[in-house]
Amino acid sequence: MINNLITNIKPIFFYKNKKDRFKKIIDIILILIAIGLIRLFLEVLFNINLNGKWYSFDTDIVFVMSVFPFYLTFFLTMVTHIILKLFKIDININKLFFLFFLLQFFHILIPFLDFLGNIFNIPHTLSITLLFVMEQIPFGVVVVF
Amino acid sequence: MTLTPLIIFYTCPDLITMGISVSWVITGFIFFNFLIKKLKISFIKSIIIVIIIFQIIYWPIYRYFVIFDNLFKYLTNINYYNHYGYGLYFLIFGIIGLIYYNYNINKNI
Repeated sequence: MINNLITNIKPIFFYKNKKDRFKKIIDIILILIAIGLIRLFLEVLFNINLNGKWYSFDTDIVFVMSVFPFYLTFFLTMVTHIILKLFKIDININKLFFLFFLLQFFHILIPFLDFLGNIFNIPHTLSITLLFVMEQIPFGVVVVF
Repeated sequence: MTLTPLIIFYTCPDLITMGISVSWVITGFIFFNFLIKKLKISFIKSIIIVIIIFQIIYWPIYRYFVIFDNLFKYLTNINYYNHYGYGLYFLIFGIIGLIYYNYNINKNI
């Protein structure tokens, strides 16, 4: 099934002329924006929040979440391509781009895992971290005195 | 990249959830495998590459986003705190990546 999916997605990255390439890049950008928005929608649906309030339909957060997968694919391909060049490893940029594009689909998986984390009470706040304990010590001392 | 959840958990624990940590682990594993098996890079080299990429990705996303937000707030004189600066950072660097990709797309190796 996964192989079929990959063979269906792969033709997006091959084009005949510049017009085709432009259209396909726009298609890819729209898919990435959709991934970000689906993730935000699911996070709001499952009532998951970071640091008080993050996932909501406020315009700034919708903007951030829609641009996030776009940034991760294009910027990461650029960074990895440059770093591999520095290590004298030549690679076709399409391969890297295809890899990072596929990895963006994990965004859709995240809300479900968050939901499971909430059900099984897996901590994702300040509860058990070392930093939290260290921050609380002076406060505790002040309270005691 | 596979160590990202641990590092985020100890440096800014408000931002980590189970989904984020698991997805970072899986992406780190896939990317590491890609470097070793597909590109046939040595183990130590691929670790160095992953660490460098991690540094470039981690700091702006999980630590410096407050700077972008405050910069945007300072430049636009908006009174309430918002995340448009964070989004603009993503957009600008995404477009830079897009231009780089378009420039290198025809170089078949």
